[in-house]
Amino acid sequence: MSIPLLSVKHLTTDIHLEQGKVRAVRDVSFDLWQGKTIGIVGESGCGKSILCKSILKLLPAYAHILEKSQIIFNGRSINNLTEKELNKIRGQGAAMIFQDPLSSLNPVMKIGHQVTETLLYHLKMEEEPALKKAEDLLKAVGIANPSQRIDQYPHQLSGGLRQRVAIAIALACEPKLLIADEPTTALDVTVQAEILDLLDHLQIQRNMAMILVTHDFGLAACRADEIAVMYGGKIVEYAPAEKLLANPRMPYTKALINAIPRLEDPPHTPLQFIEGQPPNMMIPYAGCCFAPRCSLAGHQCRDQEPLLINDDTDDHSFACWNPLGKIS
Amino acid sequence: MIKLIAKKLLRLFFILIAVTAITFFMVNLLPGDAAYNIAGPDSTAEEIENIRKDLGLNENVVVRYLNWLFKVVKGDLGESLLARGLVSRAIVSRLPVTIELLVLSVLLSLMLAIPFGVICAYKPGSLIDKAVSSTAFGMMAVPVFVMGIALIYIFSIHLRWLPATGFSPISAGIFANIKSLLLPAFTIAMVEWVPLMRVLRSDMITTLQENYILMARSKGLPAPYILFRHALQPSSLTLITILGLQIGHLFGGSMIVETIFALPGIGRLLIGSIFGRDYAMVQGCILFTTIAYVIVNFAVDMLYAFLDPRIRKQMVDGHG
Repeated sequence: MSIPLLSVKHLTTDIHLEQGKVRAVRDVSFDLWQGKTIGIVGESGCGKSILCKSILKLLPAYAHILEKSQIIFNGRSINNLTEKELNKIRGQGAAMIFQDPLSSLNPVMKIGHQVTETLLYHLKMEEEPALKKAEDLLKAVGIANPSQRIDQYPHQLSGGLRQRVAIAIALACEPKLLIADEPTTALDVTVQAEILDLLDHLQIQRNMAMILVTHDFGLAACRADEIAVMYGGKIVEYAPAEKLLANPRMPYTKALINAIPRLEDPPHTPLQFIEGQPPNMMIPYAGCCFAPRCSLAGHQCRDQEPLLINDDTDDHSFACWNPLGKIS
Repeated sequence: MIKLIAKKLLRLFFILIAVTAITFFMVNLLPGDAAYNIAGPDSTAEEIENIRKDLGLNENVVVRYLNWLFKVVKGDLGESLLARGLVSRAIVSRLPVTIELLVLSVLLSLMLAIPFGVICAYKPGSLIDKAVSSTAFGMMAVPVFVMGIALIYIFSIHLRWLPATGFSPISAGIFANIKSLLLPAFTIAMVEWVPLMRVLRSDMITTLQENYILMARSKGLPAPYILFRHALQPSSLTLITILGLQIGHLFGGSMIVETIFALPGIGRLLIGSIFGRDYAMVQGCILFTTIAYVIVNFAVDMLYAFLDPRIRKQMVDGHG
């Protein structure tokens, strides 16, 4: 346990669009230890998904990762791996589940085949034991009648079931790391809780590390060990979950926490929201990119970009010129 | 399912009536008739008139069409006016040539279209995509008879690999049979593969942006496997549609190739009958090609269901 399972350093990803270049992920660094969960929280378009795809190098052709970025998985840098070596990591070392279970399964392929694929290819299993294992996997993710399901097509399953199938596929080769990119966003609230409990359970059982990407701060707060808040492609605050919740330093984090609706609020309490729009990443901004929406922003905030620094404690870092709750 | 087939059969019936009626009247509009051709250039007006009476050509066109139709319903396609043989026998003897040519050229087109379509879609805009696409367009722009002659020059005259013309039936040995059809089939394929490749390429580019392809990549599967196992099937619906239209069109429409390579197929029979105003033979050929066209399109519909389980469900539910 002396080295992290996944170490991301200075990850920077550019996307080349017709209108120009967008720096979607800016100098993101974090460490993730085995069995732990990091929650990555931010609004839509803050670069969360690109970050996930960058880690497994699953980016489209028009995106590219800058040279200075370093991704070390399981003690090995994946920067210069060949596609073949990457495929080995993708299938066996780190798996991914996606936001929309309705579109992430192949509509013309039977469930059974989609689950056994990795078993056949990576573990070189025979067809029959692979199907047997697929049934076990489906059972493990809480699907009641796996032997029927393996002969069905995705359109015959509900959204929740499909996400369970996606999880079963991800777990097939026992990965050490699971990247869950908004795994429950497209699902009903009750199904959401079931899926998250399932992930929790499987994570403990298998001692997996997990990157949980979400726009829902409340969800991250109760499921993740550490939380990284992203804004404008950067990590703007990074701390253990309870610390962040108790003592947010960056006004943006505070605003996100305030935006969580609370059950104890009386009916018709207006929801808190953050004024303004997320930054347009096409236009470079000299200062802190949250400054235009921040009530505490001063001159320095608008002119100079704050760096991610540790202030008072080792494990709590933030990028802000006027942090909240300054202990003086 | 049975309801579906019954519906299709009913539609086939109406299509046949319409198509045969239209061809009948159109052949009738052509100047001259079979009597001239039978009597020869030195005959007198009286002789021609007698032949006309003999063949019943003097009657009203509607009456003649209905006569023909009633005979067909009884299973009699009539006799050829020129060759003095049964129309059905002539067609049956020519059918194997046409079908063989068709199957071979479709196979060759697909063998070109699928790999190149997939490669181009995998890296759209790349050098290989541009090279393949421009070559393909160039090929499509070449008229079939030029392509045929060019291929004869290369493979028959220059390399001496394949016979330039003529047809060896299967009875002469399967090898000689295929050898005699390879060049004409290739001539057709060289033109027909282009639209197939283009639609596959564009459908595949769309498919490759789907989430399930990203998911397949995240499973660490190799690119060729993802392309052929995950992406090809959902990208092939337009390809199948175009292919169906091509087959229908080739069924009676390969007369140019049949003429260049001197193959005794339906297309040549049809064109010869039109020139001779042999309306019974024309009607017989049209009847067959129309039936083939409708059957092929029905097969295409079935193939959709095979390729996409969601369409299968619609068909079973009766929305198809």
